[in-house]
Amino acid sequence: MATAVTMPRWGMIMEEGQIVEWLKKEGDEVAADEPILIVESEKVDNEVTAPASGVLRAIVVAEGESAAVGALLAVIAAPDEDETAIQAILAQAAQKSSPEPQPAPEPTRPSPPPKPRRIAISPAAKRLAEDKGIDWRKLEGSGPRGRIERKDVMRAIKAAQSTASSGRRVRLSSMRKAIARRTLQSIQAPQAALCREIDITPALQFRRSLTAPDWSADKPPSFTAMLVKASALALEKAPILMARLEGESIWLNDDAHIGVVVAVEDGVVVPVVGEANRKSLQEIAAELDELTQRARAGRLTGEEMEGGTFTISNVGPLGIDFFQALLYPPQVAALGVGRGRERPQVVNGAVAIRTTAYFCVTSDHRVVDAAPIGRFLDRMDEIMQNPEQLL
Amino acid sequence: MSRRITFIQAVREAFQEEMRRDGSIIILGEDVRKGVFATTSKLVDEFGPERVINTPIAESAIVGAAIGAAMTGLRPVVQIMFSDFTYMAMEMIANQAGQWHYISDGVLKTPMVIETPGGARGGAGYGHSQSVEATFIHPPGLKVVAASTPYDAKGLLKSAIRDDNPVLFFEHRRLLTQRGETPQEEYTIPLGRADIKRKGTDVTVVAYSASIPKALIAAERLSQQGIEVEVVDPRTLVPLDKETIFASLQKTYHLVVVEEGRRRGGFGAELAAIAVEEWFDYLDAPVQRLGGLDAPLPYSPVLETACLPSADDIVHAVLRSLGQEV
Repeated sequence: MATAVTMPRWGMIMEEGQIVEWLKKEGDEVAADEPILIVESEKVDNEVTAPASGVLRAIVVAEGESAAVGALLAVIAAPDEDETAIQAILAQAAQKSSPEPQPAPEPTRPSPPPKPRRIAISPAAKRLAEDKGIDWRKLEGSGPRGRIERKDVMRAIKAAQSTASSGRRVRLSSMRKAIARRTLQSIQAPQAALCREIDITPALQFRRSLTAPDWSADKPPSFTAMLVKASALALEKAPILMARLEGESIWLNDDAHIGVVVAVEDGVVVPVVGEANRKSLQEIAAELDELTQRARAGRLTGEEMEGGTFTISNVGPLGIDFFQALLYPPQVAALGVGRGRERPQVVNGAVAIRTTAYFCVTSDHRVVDAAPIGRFLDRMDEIMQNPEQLL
Repeated sequence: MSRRITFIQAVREAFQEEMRRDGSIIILGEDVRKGVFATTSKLVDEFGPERVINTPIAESAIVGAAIGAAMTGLRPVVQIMFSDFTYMAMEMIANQAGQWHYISDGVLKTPMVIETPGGARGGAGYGHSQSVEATFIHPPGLKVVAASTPYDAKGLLKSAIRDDNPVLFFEHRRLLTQRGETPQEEYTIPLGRADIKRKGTDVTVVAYSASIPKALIAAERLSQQGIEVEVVDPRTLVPLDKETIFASLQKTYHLVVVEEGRRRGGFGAELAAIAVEEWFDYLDAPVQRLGGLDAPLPYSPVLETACLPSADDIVHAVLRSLGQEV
């Protein structure tokens, strides 16, 4: 019997994956559940295991190429399996791959993107553009009825030469493509950012002072972990910040699943600390540490990046004062925290040097107005002044 | 040494030179001894009535006789007085002349030329004015020549007479009295080789026969606007020198085709189809086709002019091709 190896779906957002490496080559013996290739999806690299034991008889998608979820990647069969059985699977896949049946859209999904507009371009102009690596879909045509002609492409080539006299072209990684798509999707929501400067001196002192019996871990929590816990508490005062807009109604989440933006090589990923409102600071700190490490190794699973109801982006370590975070749809609010810096503050009528940071909440104004953000930031401030509440 | 002679003289010289060279060449047609358009005038004085034969007014019979003569060893030249009348001999030309080499499995050949003046000039009306060349690019086994200058006419006619296939040799009546430089010395021009009548870089205009002078006038006017047109004269429609046209298109990326025959189903249609099939990546704009109207040609010289593409029409077609006019 011949068995198909197909592109797995890791998490609901995964649409396609790129073959990073084949761990086995055609003709190799494989055992069921043995890793046979590594796939890079939008945000995760992971191994794909053999669905059956046998010999890897055919590899369909080569290293570096991408394939849609469910697409045929390889065929495993017994060494003496008849070639016709393998050909049958290959033929079936080839037939299916052209108009691939799309999975039924999820009811909460935003409407599908509009059909790409038809662009008129002369054959000669198209060929020139493709030869020179010019994306003709972005060109304005000067010909009849807006047709793109050779002279339009020549102009683009000249422009490209003048702006980038030297450089190199790099293909977008799956992650970059996903970030590009999601950030573009994000700005379609009407966004407002409201900011507050908060004195974090007590919180930083508290972090350094954590010792047994209050703290059993071998290192203090990261400031980000404290922000996660603080946000979970503050969101209780403004639960609308954890809502999501679904057509004509608003879905209100009971629990705070808090996404944390983690910078990785060539992009960012957003692992989610689930039910942060039910976890202790110590649990959150340990979990976040572990998620961050795996994120940097490209080993998060799709599930670990899903289901967030609120997102935190702490850009302080990057030396940034203000950050108006982008929303992470379908979420309606995100917190951007800038660096803690010693600044002059008026305390009890006198100027004092305090460490402050700017907390900015970006919200989807369709759902969230200024008042709940004010309540949220009030509460964050209060916790930062009284950080023992985090325990 | 070269001198300026008329198209008529050039054709007559070709006949003289070839008939002196080869005793198997005969000329037959209506009033060829006198020569209605003078291309065969006085040949009878040198070559005698056995080689220059007046025939009854029966085009099918004339061509049929020529086919028989060709099959049995002569190299006949048939003159059809007006190219409109070739339709009278269509069975002989389209079904017989071009196909007997194939039908006889190569045993027979039909080396013959059909020399025929035609085209619109001065309001000769529906039956004496048409440009019917395109009709003959369709049947198999025929070659089609349509020269635009005395030089080309002489060199091509000599090659046509020496060719072992039936060749239709079209002469435009507006060109017959035109003069052009022609060498004294003997020369021939191979069938199937185009000539660039004017060099240019912006648009390729393919024209032939009486459309060449118009294309050259249009090119001159456009040049004053800074548009350089390359005028390509295929000279023979079958076989067609695609290489030369393609080389020009690779330089200009714009193609305009001009003919006096009707546009519908014409030579331009064939060339435009070739361009789309074979040269797609070199088209920066749709091919522009110019040709006669789909109508009978009128007797009124004014209306006749209106039925045919003019130099002005070519200017506009070039501008349309460049997207400078809609």
